[in-house]
Amino acid sequence: MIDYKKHLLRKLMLKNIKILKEKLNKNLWTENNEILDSHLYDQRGNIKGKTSLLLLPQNTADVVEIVKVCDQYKIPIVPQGGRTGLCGGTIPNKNGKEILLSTEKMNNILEISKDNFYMIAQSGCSLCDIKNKALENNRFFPLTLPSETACTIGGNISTNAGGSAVLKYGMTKEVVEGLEVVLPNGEILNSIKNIEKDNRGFDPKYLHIGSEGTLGIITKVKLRLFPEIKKKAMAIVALDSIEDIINFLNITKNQCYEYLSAFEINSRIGLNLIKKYYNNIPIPFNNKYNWYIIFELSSYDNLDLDLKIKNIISKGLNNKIVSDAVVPQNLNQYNNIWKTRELLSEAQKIKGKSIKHDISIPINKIPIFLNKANKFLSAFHEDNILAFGHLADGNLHYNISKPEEMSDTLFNKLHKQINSNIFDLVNDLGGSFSAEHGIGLIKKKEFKKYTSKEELIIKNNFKKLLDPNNIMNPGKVYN
Amino acid sequence: MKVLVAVKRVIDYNVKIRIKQDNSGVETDNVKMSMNPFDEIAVEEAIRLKEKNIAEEVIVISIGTDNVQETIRSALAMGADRGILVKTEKELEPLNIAKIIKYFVEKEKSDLTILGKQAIDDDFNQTGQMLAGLLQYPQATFASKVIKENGSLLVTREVDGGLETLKVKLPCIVTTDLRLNEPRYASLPNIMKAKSKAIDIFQLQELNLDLENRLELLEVKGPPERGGTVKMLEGHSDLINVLKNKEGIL
Repeated sequence: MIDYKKHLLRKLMLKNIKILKEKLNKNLWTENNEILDSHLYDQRGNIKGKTSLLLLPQNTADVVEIVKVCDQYKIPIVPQGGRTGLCGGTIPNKNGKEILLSTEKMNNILEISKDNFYMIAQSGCSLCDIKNKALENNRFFPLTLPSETACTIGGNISTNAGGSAVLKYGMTKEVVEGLEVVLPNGEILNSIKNIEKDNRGFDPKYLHIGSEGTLGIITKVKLRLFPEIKKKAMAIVALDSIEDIINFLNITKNQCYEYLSAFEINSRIGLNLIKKYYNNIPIPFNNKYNWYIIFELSSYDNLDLDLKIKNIISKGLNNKIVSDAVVPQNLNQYNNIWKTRELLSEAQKIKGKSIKHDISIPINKIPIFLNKANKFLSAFHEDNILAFGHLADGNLHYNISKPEEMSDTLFNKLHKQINSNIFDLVNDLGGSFSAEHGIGLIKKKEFKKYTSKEELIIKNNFKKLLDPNNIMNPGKVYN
Repeated sequence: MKVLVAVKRVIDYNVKIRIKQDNSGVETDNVKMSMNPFDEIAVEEAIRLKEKNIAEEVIVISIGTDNVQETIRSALAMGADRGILVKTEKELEPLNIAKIIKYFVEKEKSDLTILGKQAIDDDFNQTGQMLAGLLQYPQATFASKVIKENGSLLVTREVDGGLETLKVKLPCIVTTDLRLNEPRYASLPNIMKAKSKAIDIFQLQELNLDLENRLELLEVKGPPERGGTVKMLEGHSDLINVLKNKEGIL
């Protein structure tokens, strides 16, 4: 009986997809298996979906046309940018009924205003193209992610991406001035204006920033630009304890808040990973300390930031908070020091399986978190527990690698238990189980468990209001 | 053993070079300057000799404007003992640089002088060799390993098809290749300490050397703009198709 129903639904789906294809211009879609296949994985490669059609609109009118047909025939759409998300938000489900809509052909930068410090672009532009275009005009677009050559600005906005520039510029939402969105019924909601201030009620763009493709398809974006960064300076600092790190952050903020552009934490365990898997990168301090901070100052004019860095560290050294420090003497050292932080995720991947947590905790509670979390992970040797990330945002990546001697089965079994212990602890401390990676497919359960009832109701109501036929990225974020 | 190391301040090798509009040279205003990477390797090697108690003193010499002090300080922060700055605004060619260094090799009576095999800005690769010639010292260029054995050095060089080891009597000249060592990071406490190390400053004129330039720089031009466009291929069958039918590679 159930099988028969499934069969009927499948037939209906195939019929609807056929209608969609007939109605659309041929250059707007493809069924080529190879191309489809390359669009079914996410960044981490551990979720794979299925689909029979990929739509490749080139402009807003194309998207409107597509969405209208899909809404009429209730064909579910999974919007895709660069597929660099970490929660499976761009992967269609396994039954193959969902079709993909990739913004990859919507990759034109439409306008850049040097004088008014903004840029308007189609949503499929890569973050890298946006940043380069800004730089060509002596402007700076701050969002900084490891995947910037692949990820799209539309994807960044729909996931409200974080990254290493959050400390100075905030999450993606802070640098978006307006959006053009095709709503699930095919209408266009446009909040791109050529004015800075507009206080006519609440701003609808915030509905879509961070909505992960569940409320419409972002087609155009207006981004805030900044002056080009003229000077940067950085150092890697060795410290004994997490408490010292928090004190050092205070010193840094007190002296240089307006220039502070990065404050990243790494540990002896992290540097060991880099040493093991990237032996061409020289490791500072022979890795003899427990904790490391890489911090960076940047300014729009030619200030002597090196001097400021030295003053901050000297204060830390005098107060016995800082054990040692290295200031790069050339750009090669500068890049190598950054690599000891940037390559951590890759190094951990080479080491093997791991359970990853992208959590955010009030900064003053990070010591409590590490203390308690390490306690209930006492069965794991400390070398398998890696804590790193954007400390000054309170954002830690707290990842547990599978010990070599542990079987996959046992590790997978422990996965759930570890997750729920960590997330409960984070929740008790007033933190978030998803600091910058979103919800997507894989964090739906936590979203339901750790979000207040009132917030869930409001979010669900918005989803129902905007997408009554549930065609926009169904099964993601919401159930 | 006394070791003299010659260092040059150059545009950092990670910086994208911009040619001046009038083709008279490259832009250096507001450009990140660093120690020539081969010279950094030379400083590191000298400091390692000192750490092994083979060298008693490591002296770093550089030539140029006041800004060059920063480069010398970098070497002092790595562990060199003291610095010498020969002040001049003049552009000097390798032979003249070699004459100036010769003056200080003789003044300091250094047993070993280490230089980078070449500077990454002009790529001359001449100074070390000319210095050896002027001093009539033995030389071992492009060193990838240096060992002291009694009154000589055993210097390994990477040559086509393998390694060659030379024995050179001290005093001598060694120029460094890329794989000789990995220069250390300078720690901030050492950078602070380096501030109190001495840098002796000499005006170029007071050395009374014949430094007539024999080379004339005519112009500097950038490489031709790269043409061509990038075509994105759609999947591996497309790639095979292009390699087979368009490029004729397969």
